[in-house]
Amino acid sequence: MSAPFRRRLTGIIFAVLLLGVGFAAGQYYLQRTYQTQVEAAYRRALSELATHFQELAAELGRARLAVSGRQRSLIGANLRRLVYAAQDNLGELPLGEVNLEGLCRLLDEVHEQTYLYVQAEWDPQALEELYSQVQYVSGELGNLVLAKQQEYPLVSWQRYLAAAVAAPEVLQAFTAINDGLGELRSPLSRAPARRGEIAGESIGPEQAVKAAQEFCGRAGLHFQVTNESKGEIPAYTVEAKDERGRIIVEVSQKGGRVLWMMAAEEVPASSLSAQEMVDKGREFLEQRGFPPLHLTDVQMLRNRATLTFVPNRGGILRYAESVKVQVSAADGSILGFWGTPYYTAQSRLEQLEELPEQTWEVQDKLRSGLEVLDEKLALIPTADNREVLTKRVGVRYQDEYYLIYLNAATGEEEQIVQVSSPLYF
Amino acid sequence: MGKYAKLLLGCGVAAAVLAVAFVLWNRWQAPPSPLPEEKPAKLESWRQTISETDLDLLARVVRAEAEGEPYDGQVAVAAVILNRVRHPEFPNTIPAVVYEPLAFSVVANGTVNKPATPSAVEAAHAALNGWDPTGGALYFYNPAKTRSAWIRGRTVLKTIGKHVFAS
Repeated sequence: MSAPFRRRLTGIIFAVLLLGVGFAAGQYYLQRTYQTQVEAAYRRALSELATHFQELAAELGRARLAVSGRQRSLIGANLRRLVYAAQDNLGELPLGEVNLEGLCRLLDEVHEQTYLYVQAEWDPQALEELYSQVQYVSGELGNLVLAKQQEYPLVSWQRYLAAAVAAPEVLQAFTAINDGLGELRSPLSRAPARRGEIAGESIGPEQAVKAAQEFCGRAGLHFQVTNESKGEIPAYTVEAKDERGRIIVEVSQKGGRVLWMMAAEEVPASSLSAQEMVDKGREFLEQRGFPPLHLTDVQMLRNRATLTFVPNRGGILRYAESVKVQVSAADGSILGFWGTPYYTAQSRLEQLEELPEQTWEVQDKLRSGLEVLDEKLALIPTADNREVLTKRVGVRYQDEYYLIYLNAATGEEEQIVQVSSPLYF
Repeated sequence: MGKYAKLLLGCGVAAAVLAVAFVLWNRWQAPPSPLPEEKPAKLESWRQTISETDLDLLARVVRAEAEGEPYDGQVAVAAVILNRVRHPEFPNTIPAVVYEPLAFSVVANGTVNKPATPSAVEAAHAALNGWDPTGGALYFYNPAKTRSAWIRGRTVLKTIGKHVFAS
């Protein structure tokens, strides 16, 4: 190796090494800055969480004494704001591997009780219980924040090397706080949703195949039972394949009802109008013996229309008995059907004894400035799994359209839903 | 060419090689940009009851948990999340269920942040409209990947693809 070449090689190696060291130093610096920022953000979240729990405890303390509607509304608004803020702070903390179920449930319960509290339907014992648990968490978080404030600098060099942004003591503290929370004696007010049952004689796999074949109505498909569902409604899963894709049909083991159907196929283009697809969906349901149905929703996604229909019996739209159909915008073929609520609701719904006499006027129950475009009676499901008879009022307000569901007995609003046009009123 | 000029040239070549390596390294590190066909489809709904952000989050979980699974298996994963939303023992919003600590490994490992595929969006949309192939399941797991005796002890409702759905 000649001397000039050696010198050149040395120079190049030196330059490469220099650049490499510079690159590594830059990366190290960037990582350190990033970690410092992340740690600062976590500390801020922790500090805010402690503050929000402290304020929650204070508001709950006041809530136990307040009686007037105005005071309860003010406290309720504060409680909600603090719950949302605390939930945000919990999400910002690097606690992905820690079980925080108790803390999350405590916040959920405060939120649920706040609703009841503002409605003047609260349980004083539940409020006392929440107050003591929130106070406990607030105290523990306060201690944790104080302990963190003793640490300096922000991030210790051991943690840089360990590449850990959450200190083990924080994780341990949160685990201890979570474990220290007692069981809430008053369960959440939400009851689990229960479907009804499907009556009828038990069927075998062959009958399920036949039911699927007849329901699907597409020629040349060879269905076979591929699975069994052991959920609330035992059912056979029946499948067929053709060049367009897979079709899956679920048939109940009692009564042989087709609960749902889905076709896993791409719809590459759209050539039908919304009304044409609605007509196709309606025709499909009529051919399968469904009673006259009222269209309550049209959704378009990736050249598929999802149509929601509800039966209209005795002049009442039965929202809990909805039937859904998916129609291809390319050729109008049926890609999906969902009928479980229709069959199960029929089994658990009792006939309405008598329509309550309406003692109020729609216009008196609506705010001024609304143009009423439509009125119908509707039986709608509520958040707590009941059903309530309402007067469904379609209105226009400042070029926007809404459906307002007024309780048939009291005239109070049960639900307000925005719709895109008055087309399907 | 003088010796300093040659040295400078050598440094320049080395710097260029390092710059290319740096760019390649960064591209490898960066998440892949979504393909045009992977953009979430626009949902047009007459009743304004489905939140676009809920649909997107649900679809991203479906992609992360069930990419490569049959369509009904994808709908089933979305349905489990929605069954939890309706169940009193779980939070009552989709984000709260998805981001509940320890609930989904795809949240902890960041896979949930990948954009949803068209099939996942369709599956999530079907589940939001009520389709539930699981018959009311609250849990699912891949038996080949989990050793948890607790989850394996749950009542199995259905097996779809590689996932077992349980209550």
